[in-house]
Amino acid sequence: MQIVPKLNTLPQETSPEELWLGLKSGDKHAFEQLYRKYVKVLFQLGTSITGDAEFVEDCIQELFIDLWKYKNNIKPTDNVKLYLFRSLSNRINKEKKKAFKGNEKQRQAAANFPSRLESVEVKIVNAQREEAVQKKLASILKKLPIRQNEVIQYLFFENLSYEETSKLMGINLRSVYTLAWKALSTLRKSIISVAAYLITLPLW
Amino acid sequence: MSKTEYTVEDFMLDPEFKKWVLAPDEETRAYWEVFLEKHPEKYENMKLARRALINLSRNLGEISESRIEGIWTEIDTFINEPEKEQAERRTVSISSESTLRRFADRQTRTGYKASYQFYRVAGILVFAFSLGILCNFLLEYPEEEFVEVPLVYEEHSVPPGVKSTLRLQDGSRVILNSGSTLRYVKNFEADKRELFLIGEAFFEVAKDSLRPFVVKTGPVSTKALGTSFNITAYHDEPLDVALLTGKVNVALGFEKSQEIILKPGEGLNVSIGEQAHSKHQIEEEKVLAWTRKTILFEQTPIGEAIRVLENWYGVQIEVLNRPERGVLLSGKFVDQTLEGVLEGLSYSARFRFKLDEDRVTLKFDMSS
Repeated sequence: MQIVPKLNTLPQETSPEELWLGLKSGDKHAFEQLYRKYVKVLFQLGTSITGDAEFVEDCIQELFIDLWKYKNNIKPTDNVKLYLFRSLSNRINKEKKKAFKGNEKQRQAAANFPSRLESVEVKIVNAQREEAVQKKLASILKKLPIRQNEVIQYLFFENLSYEETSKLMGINLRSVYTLAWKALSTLRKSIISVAAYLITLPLW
Repeated sequence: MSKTEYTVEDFMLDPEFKKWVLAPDEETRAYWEVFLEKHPEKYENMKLARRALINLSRNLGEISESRIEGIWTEIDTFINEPEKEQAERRTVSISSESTLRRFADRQTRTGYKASYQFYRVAGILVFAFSLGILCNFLLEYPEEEFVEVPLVYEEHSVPPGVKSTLRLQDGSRVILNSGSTLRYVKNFEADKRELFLIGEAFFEVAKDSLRPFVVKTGPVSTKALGTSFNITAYHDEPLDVALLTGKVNVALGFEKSQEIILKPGEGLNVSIGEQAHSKHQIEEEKVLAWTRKTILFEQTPIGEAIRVLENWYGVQIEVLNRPERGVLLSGKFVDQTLEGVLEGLSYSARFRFKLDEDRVTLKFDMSS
């Protein structure tokens, strides 16, 4: 194995786009930097979608191996993160389809990895968040069909536009809207049930 | 879709609404407050949409440093030995015969596979196609909303003597007055509806807060979300924007740029040459007269009146003995011939007129 220079010996942080070009020209160091830069967000996205840490790790590993294998054919991009998101999404969906056909491997498997609750970013003070509702929504989101879950991740957590989401998921804008609508509909109904629960609680 | 039909989900999916809830600015605040005032029945839906948005949460997995290193080691191992792996996969033939045979085998096999694939693809295409047609029938969504189209400009010119009503692709309605030109990107762009106007037009804008509706008249742009307003912007005349319903934002692109917000019933008069502007109260009847086949003069300077008549009837008007003090004309004419209008005006303004096909001569009495 080659000795790879340590990251911190680099003078400045190179932009993702430059790293991307570096990868294209076969610069292994740039490749490693790309991996280290994006592995966390890719893992976060992957686990939010599937809830299966081991599976996501495998996908990420294969994703990067393929990137290196096909580095000569990768296209220049002005948004590396989006490109990687799309690759991961494709891979997850492909693998899930396979798993669905063969022996059905449930995605609740390996659910006990460290995780934290993250809410949609709110830029106002005193947003009156309700913990019970937050938890409920997170758990319902996890149970949604993958594509529905994905669209919510992109639109609300990654703050991508409809256009970006449609490109990322490889579906047209109307499908993005429809998927998101269905997902939100399920989520909305769960809020009402939380509310009902909260109301009935004091009566006990 | 109009916002008045919004469900909770639609509100949550409206970027403007999302912005209002999560990171509001003055503009979104004002917009949604007005909306709520007008549509109190939407309160419950909006409240629930807000609550869902604020509490929307996900479980984020955290990957440990050791796993990051572990995965990298595996990737690194692989990319350092790809040659070996690829070599293993390749089978090397001993004789030329076996190579040829294997090649032939593969061809027949792919041939079968390809044709099977062909039927599959064809089947899917037929299915998708019929589904598409079905959807077209069933869904009443405006198709243009999401279609990406290259920028093609559409231009409507109305010659003098003619008026024209247009229905734009987004559902907005435009009445173009005589001698006016309206130019816009066909189907509009994804993020805005931009139109260029010379002359006069009345707009009834279909609501679409995602794509503001902007009418550009020289340095002045009038931005609307969902409103009805009238713009008069003929050459060499003061520009006038009159708002009937909703809200518009008029941006004056002068040396010192300025933005003016109009409320219903307000009008803005802009003198482009002098870079000056003034607000005034409008009378709906007067503003909309032209759309109702009505010519309305109220102390109108003769120059403007002549432009109106020239446009309206498609004629050239020549004025002889034009009084130096200027003449103000008044009168209301509904669906009248030019002769009728001139006759009506001639008594009070004291002129005689001669009609000769598309040429008209007005001659004022010297005595007046």
